[in-house]
Amino acid sequence: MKKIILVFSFLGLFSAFSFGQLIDEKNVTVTMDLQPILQLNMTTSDQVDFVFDDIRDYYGGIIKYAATILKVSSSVSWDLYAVGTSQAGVIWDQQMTYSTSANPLSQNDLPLSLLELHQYEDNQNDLGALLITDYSNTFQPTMTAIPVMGQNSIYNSAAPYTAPAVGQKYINGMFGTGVDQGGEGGSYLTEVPVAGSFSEFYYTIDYRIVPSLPATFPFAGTNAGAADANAIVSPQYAEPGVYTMNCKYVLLEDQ
Amino acid sequence: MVNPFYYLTKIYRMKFYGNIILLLIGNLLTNCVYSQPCINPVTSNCADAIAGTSEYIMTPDPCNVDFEFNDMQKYIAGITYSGSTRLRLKIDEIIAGDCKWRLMMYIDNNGYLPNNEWEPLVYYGASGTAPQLNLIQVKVYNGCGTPLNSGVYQIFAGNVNYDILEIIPALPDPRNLPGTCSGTQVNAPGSYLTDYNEYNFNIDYRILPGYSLRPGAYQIKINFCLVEVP
Repeated sequence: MKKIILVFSFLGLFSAFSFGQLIDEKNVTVTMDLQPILQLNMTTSDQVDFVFDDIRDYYGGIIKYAATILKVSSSVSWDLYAVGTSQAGVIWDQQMTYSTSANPLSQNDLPLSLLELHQYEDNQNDLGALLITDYSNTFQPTMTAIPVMGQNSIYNSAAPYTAPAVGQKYINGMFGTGVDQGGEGGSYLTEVPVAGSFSEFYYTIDYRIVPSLPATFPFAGTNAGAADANAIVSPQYAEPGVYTMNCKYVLLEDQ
Repeated sequence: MVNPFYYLTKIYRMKFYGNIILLLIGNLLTNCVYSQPCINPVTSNCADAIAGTSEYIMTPDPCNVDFEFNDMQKYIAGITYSGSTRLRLKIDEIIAGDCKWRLMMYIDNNGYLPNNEWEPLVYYGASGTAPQLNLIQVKVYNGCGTPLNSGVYQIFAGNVNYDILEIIPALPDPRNLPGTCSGTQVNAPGSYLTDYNEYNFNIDYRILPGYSLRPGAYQIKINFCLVEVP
């Protein structure tokens, strides 16, 4: 028994410490650094001007077709939203007034929601959303007697980098990370759209402002179809002047 | 009267055999856990490449291949590194006519689980899926086309830790001798100094990540194992 144990012991040791045989190994370490890429290419003029110097413009509004083109490339799932903001928060910044009237009906707190957007293509990643989830509805005719307030109104916020919450509009995606609640990674460079449409990585944006008369901006409103908190209600009217606001397009990882 | 050294000797013997048994158990356990494919050969017909006259040279050594996807263009087109690893062999024989060898590569994710994924080092985001081991593509080639699937990008199709891709597989006799440059898998003694295109191997690497992977830094190791075969 002792001999057997000794024999196996030496065999075992021999297998563990064998020398003089051809065996060698070289190693290559491969590191892959996947940095998140969110690339938004925007084609637009620096400033989109709406000049209302004719009574027809007040009634019919002014539309700027395809004034902005957005092209997306992303290595991760993504959301894209537009947000209106200003120095004052959620009302237009008045740069100049053309009126010296002391009439209390003249209002210079114009809601940002009076700016309407129309996007093409529609939001393809808004599964389960209940309210209007994008700007794909066509602009309502200016003659509409009882317009749906806020249908195309821009989402606006004093905190523009906080993503829109549940029930707010996105251009693509929505609040949440569930299935079909954000665009999949890809690029407008390689995406082959269905015939007759653009891909979800390519959007054209139209802008419209309809003051109407008196200038109350009847299409402005919240995304829930209610009047804006800063709505101008007839017989009030917008004070003539120069106003500015900022429209940001934010591309972010799906969240 | 019992010899006082009797018990002492007995105790020493018991300790000796006890240690031997422990050593054996340890050795068995080591062999079981050590499941990497590059295992000791059972013959000694070729000269050792570490202390003997055979040579196994990798350049550069150490070799790190870093794929940095920091631009959309790289995600779209992928990243390729050509000839970033080179292996050169010089195989001497000890027993004439019996020395044969095998060259293979296998993938190692440092024991990360699940065992079909890259080892994550850091995450940059929460969305996306983990990269799998069959993501990396490897191409092995030389001037005479001796590697198996020479010049073709291959993946570790088994998609599991320690998955193997053969470069020169273990072949039955007769050996394929160098000098013909016919594309056969040369596995006999020879040298890159005299038959460069049969004992030199260039390796390319390529990754096409797509757009569904979770952002982060990941790592794997590719091992190139040269071993004698009977």
